[in-house]
Amino acid sequence: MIDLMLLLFLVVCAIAAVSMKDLLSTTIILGVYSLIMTVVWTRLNAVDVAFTEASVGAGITTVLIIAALSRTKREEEGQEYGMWSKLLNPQDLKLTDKQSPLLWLTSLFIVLITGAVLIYGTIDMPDFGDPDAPANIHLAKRFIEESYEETGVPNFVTAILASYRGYDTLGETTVIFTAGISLILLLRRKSYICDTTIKEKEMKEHIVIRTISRILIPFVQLYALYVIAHGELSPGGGFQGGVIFGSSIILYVIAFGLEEGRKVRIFREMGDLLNSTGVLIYAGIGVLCLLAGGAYLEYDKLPLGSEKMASSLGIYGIEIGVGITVAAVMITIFFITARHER
Amino acid sequence: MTLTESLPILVIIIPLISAIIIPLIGRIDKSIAFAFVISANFLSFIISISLLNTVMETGRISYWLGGWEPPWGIEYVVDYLSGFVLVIVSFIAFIISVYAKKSVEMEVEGEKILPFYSIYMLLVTGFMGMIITGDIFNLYVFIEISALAGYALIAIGKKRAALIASYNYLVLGTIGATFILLGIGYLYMATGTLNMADLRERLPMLYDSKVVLTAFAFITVGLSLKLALFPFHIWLPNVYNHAPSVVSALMAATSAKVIAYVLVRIMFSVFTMKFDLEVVPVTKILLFLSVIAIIAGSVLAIAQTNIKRMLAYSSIGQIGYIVLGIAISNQLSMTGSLIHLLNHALMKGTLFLVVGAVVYKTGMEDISSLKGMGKKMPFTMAAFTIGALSMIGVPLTVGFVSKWYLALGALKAGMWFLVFIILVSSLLNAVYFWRVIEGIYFHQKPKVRSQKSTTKDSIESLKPEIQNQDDAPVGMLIPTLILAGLCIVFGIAAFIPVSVVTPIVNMLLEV
Amino acid sequence: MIELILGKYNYWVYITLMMIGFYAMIEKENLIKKIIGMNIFQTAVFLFYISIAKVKGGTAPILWEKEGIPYDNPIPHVLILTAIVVSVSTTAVALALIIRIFKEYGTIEEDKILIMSEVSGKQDSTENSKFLSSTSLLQKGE
Repeated sequence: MIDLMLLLFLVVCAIAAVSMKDLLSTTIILGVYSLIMTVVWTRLNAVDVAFTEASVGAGITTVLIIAALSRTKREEEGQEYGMWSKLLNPQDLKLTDKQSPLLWLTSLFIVLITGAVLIYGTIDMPDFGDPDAPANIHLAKRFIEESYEETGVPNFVTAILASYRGYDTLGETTVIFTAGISLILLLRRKSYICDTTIKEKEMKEHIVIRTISRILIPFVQLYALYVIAHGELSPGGGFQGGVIFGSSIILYVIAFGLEEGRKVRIFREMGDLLNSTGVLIYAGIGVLCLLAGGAYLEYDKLPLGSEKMASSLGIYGIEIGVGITVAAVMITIFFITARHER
Repeated sequence: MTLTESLPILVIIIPLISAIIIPLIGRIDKSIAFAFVISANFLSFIISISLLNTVMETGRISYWLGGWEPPWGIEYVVDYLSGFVLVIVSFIAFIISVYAKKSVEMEVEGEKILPFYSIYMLLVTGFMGMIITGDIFNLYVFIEISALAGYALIAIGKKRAALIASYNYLVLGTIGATFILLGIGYLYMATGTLNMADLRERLPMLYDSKVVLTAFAFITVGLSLKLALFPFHIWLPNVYNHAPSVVSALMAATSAKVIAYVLVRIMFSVFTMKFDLEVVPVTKILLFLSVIAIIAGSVLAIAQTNIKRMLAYSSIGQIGYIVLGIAISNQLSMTGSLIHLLNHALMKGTLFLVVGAVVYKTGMEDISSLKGMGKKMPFTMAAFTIGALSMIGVPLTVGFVSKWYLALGALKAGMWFLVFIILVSSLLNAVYFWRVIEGIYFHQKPKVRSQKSTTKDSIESLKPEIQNQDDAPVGMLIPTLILAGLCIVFGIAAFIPVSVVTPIVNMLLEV
Repeated sequence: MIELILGKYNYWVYITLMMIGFYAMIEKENLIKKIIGMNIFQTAVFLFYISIAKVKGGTAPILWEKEGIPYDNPIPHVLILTAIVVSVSTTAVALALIIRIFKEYGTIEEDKILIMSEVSGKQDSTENSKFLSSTSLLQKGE
């Protein structure tokens, strides 16, 4: 019952997010939507995914959109005419081409057709939760039965993520790297005057925030390292840990400000360097496996004691690589987007 | 594992690692970074050739990533088809990277050159990964790598419209990619596997399952969106028009080919001929769409005044040709289609590189700006002429070979009207390319819409500039001429690509 | 019929969410709104994947001692972890583009941008599209 309620909430949030005019509220509602999604996924036992969605969907995406809003506009304009007036009395309205009811109907038609095809597809689907569904018996069965033996990782998700499908994860890290470089390409300027987020004077009064941050940040960072290191046993891993570590640095910057351009430059250089380093560690471990005579990313073949030991260390290595890249890209993105210009 | 056994992964890892390293070593010296790009592309081209060679000798290569046996792990597959497309893409990427230096220096700001090259390599990595993978989810990951890289490269174009072009491409591309992701999910739900070879074995008994039908529909629509097949072509002209010349060239020459390859993979390797012909009317729909694309692309190209835009619309028509052959799906038409992957890459590559050189020299990209260029840039314009003649389909050029096989295929399938369509489209191509060629050779000087300033001074000041020979720099000229030369070589010695393509067609059609 | 609905309600909800997001992506004119739609659209697909993975009475796919309790299917979880990251990367690039677009055009409404680019497009053709001169414009924008 509670699941149905949550799903209903999701739909309500989605509709609200799409139909509201104030983009900041929309963004917050999108964050709520993500959080509810996190709860739904936790109830579906997808703990790793929920962890990621909480840090990424509810966290980073919201921050990014707000940063973008602060540098663009908060209100959605145009579309003075609601859908019903478009449909009922189009001749009375002064519409641009894009607003014409015909076009609007076409979009609606496309969406409905897509929905209809999807619903058609559900007819032959196995029931929700069916343990004998093909998806749950072919590959999954073997992973559940043998992955611990073969990789030494008790968390099946991490085992598949880092070992069986480790190459997908390299691709995923490459995607983050691509996004980081793309943002540098699109937004970075040669020289800039930095007055990140909050002015120094105002912050002097926020002694509470500063004190709390000072106490909190080391713990947040420690927790980030824990999440990275503990990914084998429990939910979490390089990605989630990297996000948390990145946020700790962002927290530092928000609380203490960045008085001088020099510090910014240090952060920036460091971000650039680590951005590449993380992926390089990942791809490099793969190359080491090649050199050790195995296949790409075949950690067993690394000359690090027993096969299980090597596999375990290899997985640690790539998780650290992922964590470094994610944290570096987050910091880079933050510095690039959150800067006010004049 | 020996080096030769590791080649299938090296062909991806070399461009990937170079993309990662370029921002690092570029700090030391930018010219090292450029040399790095060229050598990485060259290496992966050489490896592609040797892979294709190995496949010809020993058959399909399967590489197990992480040492996990498929379907448990991810598999890389090099067969005739992927080997062939790998060679095309890595070759074009190599040629364009040689060409890029001057053009990029002019069209991209100084401090952005390093990230630009890094993303260029990521785009290449994405394409190569899509071609070689034998795992359907890994395919999605690489589609997204190439897509993200593409958005950034397009947006860096100098005109502000490049940003809009990139944004629209991003939205449509994401819809396409998400549809593909959804389709993959449906396939996984029905079969429990992600490996393409495994899917091929498991799917036939599920062909009447509505889940599988929906999966197929979504993957096909998603790919058509990315392929810019009519009516999903709207994003393409703006992208090719506003991106930097090097990016336009790379994307025009390879992007659609790679997606078309993926479509062939899904239709004939994951699903089977039987499914395409008997279970769903997909070939009929594709036939219909491709015919419209061929005609509409050619007609719209005639109306353009911007040369890049004209080439973009012509690409829409050419994508139509590729899909047409797939849709007829007999041996001859498939041969035409697959050869056209190579041939179109060569001709469009040539044409876009020429345009890049003209932009480099004059800063203009209007068709009228080419007037009188025959004297100023004789070699570049010769390359353009070869490319244009190829596009029209004049005998002894590659364009003729593809059209010949497509027409034969249509005849064999008893579809006479398709021959008529191909002829009409060739005529239309002749119309818009002849207009340009005529301008290049038979007009003396560019009339810079000088109705107002027809004073003698302005004309005389223009004259010497036009008459002096001032061709593109050697670094740009040689790659252009190589591509143009290949348009002729493979037009005359058509048996070389045909001999490569024939076993592919036999494999796909299970003859 | 009722069984059909009850047995698959997760799938029905995901379809609804997907349609809402899809509608916003193709119909909204505000560029940020499109991105918000894109996020809903993509998470809907993720919900579908996660729904596949659920096994009745199953527990989270982490090895533990208790025998006899089935585990949920870990594979879709892995795939979606990757897909979420891809999605946030796309969002970041899209937002970067939006920031640039706002800087160049002063608006993030698609219809207004279209009108502006039509006007400037005409200028372009009369100027013989000598876009090198627009570099100065670009530098001003930066």
